[in-house]
Amino acid sequence: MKRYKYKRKRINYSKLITILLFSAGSIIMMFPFVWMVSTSFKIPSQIISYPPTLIPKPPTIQYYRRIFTELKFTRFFMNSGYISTIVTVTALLTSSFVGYVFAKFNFWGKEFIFIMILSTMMIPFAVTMIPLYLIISKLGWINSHLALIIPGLYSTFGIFLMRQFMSTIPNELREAAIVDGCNEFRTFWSIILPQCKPALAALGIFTFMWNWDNFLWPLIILNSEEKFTLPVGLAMFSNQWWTDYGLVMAGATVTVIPVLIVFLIFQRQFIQGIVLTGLKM
Amino acid sequence: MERIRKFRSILSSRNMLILVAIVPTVIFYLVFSYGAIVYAFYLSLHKWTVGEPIIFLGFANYEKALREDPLFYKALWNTFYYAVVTIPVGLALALILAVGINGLGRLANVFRTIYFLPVVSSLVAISVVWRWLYQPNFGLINQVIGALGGPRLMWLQEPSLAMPAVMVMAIWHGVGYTMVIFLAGLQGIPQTFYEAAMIDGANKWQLLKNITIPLLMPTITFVLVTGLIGSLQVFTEMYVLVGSPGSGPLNATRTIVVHLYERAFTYFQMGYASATAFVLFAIILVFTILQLRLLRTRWEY
Amino acid sequence: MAFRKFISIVCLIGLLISSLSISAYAQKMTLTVWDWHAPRMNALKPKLEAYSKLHPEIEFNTMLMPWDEYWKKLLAAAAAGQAPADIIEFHNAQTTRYIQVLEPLPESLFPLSEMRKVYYNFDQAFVLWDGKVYFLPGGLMSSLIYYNIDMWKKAGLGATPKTWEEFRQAAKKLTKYDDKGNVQIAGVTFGGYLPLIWEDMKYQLGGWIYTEDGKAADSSWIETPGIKSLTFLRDLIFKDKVTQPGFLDWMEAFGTQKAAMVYSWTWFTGWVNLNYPKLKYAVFTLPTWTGKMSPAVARNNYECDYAVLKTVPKEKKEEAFKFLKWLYTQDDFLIKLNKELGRIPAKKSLWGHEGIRLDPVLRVLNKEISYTIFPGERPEFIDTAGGNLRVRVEKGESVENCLKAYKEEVDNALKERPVIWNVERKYKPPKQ
Repeated sequence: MKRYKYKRKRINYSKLITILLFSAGSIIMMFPFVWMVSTSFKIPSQIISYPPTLIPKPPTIQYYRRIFTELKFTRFFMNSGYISTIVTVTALLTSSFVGYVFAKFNFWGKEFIFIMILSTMMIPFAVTMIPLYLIISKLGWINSHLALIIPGLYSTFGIFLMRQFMSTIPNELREAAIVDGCNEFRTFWSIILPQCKPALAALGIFTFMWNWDNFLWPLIILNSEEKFTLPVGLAMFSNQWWTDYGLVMAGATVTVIPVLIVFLIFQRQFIQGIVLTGLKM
Repeated sequence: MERIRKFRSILSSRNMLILVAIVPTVIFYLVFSYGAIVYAFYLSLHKWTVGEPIIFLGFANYEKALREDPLFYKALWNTFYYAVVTIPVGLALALILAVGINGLGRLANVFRTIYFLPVVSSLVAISVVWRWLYQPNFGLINQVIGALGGPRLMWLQEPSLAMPAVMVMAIWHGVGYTMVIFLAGLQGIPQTFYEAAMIDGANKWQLLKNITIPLLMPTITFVLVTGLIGSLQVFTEMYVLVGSPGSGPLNATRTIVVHLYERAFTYFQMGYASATAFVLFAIILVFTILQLRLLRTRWEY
Repeated sequence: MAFRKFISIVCLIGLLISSLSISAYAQKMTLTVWDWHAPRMNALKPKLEAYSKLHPEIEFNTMLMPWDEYWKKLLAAAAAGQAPADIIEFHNAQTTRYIQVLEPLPESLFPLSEMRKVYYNFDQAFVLWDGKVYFLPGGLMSSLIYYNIDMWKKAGLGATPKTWEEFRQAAKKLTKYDDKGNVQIAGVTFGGYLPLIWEDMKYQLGGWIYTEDGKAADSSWIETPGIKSLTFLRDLIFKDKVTQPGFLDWMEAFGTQKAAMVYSWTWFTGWVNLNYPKLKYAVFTLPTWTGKMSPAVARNNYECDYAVLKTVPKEKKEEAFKFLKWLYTQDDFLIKLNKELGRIPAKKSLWGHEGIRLDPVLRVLNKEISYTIFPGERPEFIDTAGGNLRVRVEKGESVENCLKAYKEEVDNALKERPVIWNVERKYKPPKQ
């Protein structure tokens, strides 16, 4: 009896400290968000008052109103939304398709082509962005969303990930389907692909998030307000209206909160996806 | 009959599948990746700017970057400063967090989510918020420091403080991601190793040093390599947090990509900017190879 | 079946993508106007509507973009042969670099001989070194001291200062400190304009910006004119403590009544009126070392307005110029614009107009304007290096070091790209 009590006390003590430390850390992690939201609802005199207050008294929605009417944030949102969606869907399609072919088939030059594709991951974006810009401008796609979508059709990382994943799917599955009379394509679409749901989910989430947050390339390409994506719109507008702190924080809130909510709902898939990518190298 | 069968077999769905999958892919990469690199190299060998004729310069652009451009040196120095601090600190912090969280059972998921929130948030939005936090007169950070009796620091205006300010935000932003990766790695270490060591009388530090870290080596390598490649290309944080054009007070936050972007899109010196990009490329390659070599010796256990 | 499904999805996506590239076929011609300055855009919009009513086949699209991005996008797009905007607001500071993307005003619509009669100092101010005009004349702008009337009265100050020493005393009286000794209300704060005040003070002592050939910064930067001026400013910050490094941004400070005086170029009028309409302020001419305006008081700039990009398609170019010609007959617009922007109109006929004659800021500006120097072009690297000067001064570096570094930066930049349009030395102080 005595020994049992002693052991129990010990474990609780260090665990308690850890929990306390992590909680303190959590406050640091979360506080910028809390402050951002708080500022976005404060009237201007309260924003610059000292000592700083957490809860706005009285709260105001004037900034949000301006963001969505005068400052075209709905437009930015929709632009980001549909571009990210299109790119994600196409990247999923191409990555799974190409990944499957690399995983399950042998053909002339397969190793070489695969390495050729993979090694493009090593190229820093800075190297290709200038010639890409010149190519895009020759095509007349400056300030067009095409310039954001077409280069995103293929995801090298996606091809890599899907190939890794698909190579763990037993060959028997495919062979059985062919014996049953499916052509290759049907096999891919109806039999193999449904097996890949976790990888597809992870890849889909990543591609979507990465595209949503993409900044440098849209910054270079987009010229007019109606075309801006959310990050570009936010950066431009926060530069312009910097001294209107409440307004800028409202813009940031609108950019961050929806994604956070999506994350909270899908966090299991998210984290699983990271684990998948981190370990399957 | 033989011929028709052979023809049919070439046109089989298998071959079509491969063709449809691979050919457009290859074309895509040839145009957007390899074509782009070749074009970039071509540009880097020329004087390519607005309203002037294109002159072949040989390697003059590279020489200019490596010998005559003081801003480029500053950019190199700043980029390394950034990488050398954020990667080890971030890694160590993430490792400690991962080890700590690992033992917390159900609570671990809650903390994990909280620490991961900055990672999923838009980097632009985060930079904007931190810019507000760092505001010298009304920002929260200085308010807190002032309340504790400290001086009012000019975070983003003081040359010696600007980069550290960016680094703090970068670590805050990225630590959750690295922590999750380490968590996954930790969970791959069999409990039996720890139990055996504990029976042999090892304390917590020894456990960490002799079991955890060596077994996490592949993960650590992955984090280090990808972290380095990423941090050498840092741009958005400088551009949005410090403010356009991103070079900061006395060029304190001018990193390679910031410098490159300015040369390309403000001064429109496409040739010179491309040369700078290739120098960056070379640096990344060299350091990645170095890292992989150095760390490979520690892989097996 | 599955294959068909796949193909149909691919086709759908392809359709979606291609629908993006098909622009709507429009009967109307849309002209896009770009600007970075909201008040000016607001003044322009009613005129755009009015013109569309007169010419229903022309529509306008406006776009505001922050200063930094503005120039990047324009140059990048124009170099790629594109025209993201048809009509752009131009600033002559950027002349050498951006002149190649601008279309000269056509002689047919804008005959030079007529322009000379209508616009003040047309040849020196708006005709470039190749004899052509690339942008529409706007007005003459320079700098003044803006001050808060209430604070002035409360501090018991009477007449506005004529010398820098009087100015210093006034600033000291206006400064308020908190219990920790920090500046709570600045007597005067300059922020990013520090290098510009220094420039004006240097002019007052006989210094110049460029050497005679325009290939380097003038030696007066590191001689007495430069040193004396910067020492004065530095002492204001560190000895007299009328402001402190990292004080609130000067524009905001003046608007929120945290600074009693600020130095600014007169475009500030529009900004203050827009953002802080209730603020009671007035202006006075820059103090000088001797109290007299001779030999010079400050720099000025013949601000220009709109220009047309070279890469705009021909039909749009014609329509754009026609619109601009019409716009510049709209005196009410020009008066409003010049009042907003604190400029003495380049169009001489407007000077008699009540709105200009009686404008409180323009009246004061008129007193010093003949003693201001027009350097021609002023490339932006002088301002970038000036930003570094400010950081160094606020860090507390010695005056000699600050100026040496500043001059070096500008010299290097000028070596790479000398100033072609340099008319600085043409200045002659008015006869006494």
